[in-house]
Amino acid sequence: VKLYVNPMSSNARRALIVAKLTGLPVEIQVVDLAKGEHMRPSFLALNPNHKVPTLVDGDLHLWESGAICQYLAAKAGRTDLWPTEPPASGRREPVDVVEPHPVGARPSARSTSSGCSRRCSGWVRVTRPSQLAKLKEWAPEAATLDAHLAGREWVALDHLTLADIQLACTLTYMRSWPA
Amino acid sequence: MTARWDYPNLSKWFERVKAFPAWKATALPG
Repeated sequence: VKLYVNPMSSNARRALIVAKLTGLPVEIQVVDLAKGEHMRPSFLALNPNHKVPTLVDGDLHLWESGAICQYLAAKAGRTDLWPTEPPASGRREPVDVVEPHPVGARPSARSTSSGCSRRCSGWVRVTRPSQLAKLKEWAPEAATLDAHLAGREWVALDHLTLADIQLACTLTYMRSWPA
Repeated sequence: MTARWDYPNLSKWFERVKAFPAWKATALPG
């Protein structure tokens, strides 16, 4: 399995984390976006959408971080990360939150990361007014998620799942908020 | 601009995720 990533991509980081969690023998290939390596014919042959992460496993070419994470978890048999059974009847689980991209429709990592002014302790501080406005749009959903996490350790179920990884990688870019 | 993060449960959860070795292993330097 070969995984094409770039360290500045939170989407790629999701796939990287899952690859490490599964322990699968995954070869990591860094794609230098600044040099336009993602636009080279050799990479376009793997992913015509020219984005990272991209996964190659034999004849399979896979992109979109959620799909790659699910593929890796399934390949490793990690049903703890990506459960194959629906939640038990009567158990209140946040199906909407388990959705791999629960916050992607609002301030996506892409929209906020392009203007990151500096990086500190894993968080990226965003200072442009336009980007702060985008973060503010997400505040109601953050409040919902904060309330959901009261009294529980993980977003879904009682252990780490892909939902936690997907959310955490996105939230890496959302530590700063407008006053 | 003033930064604010008033989501204590979200913050605690994030610390749990960050504690996983796989998270640390993929963190950017700096």
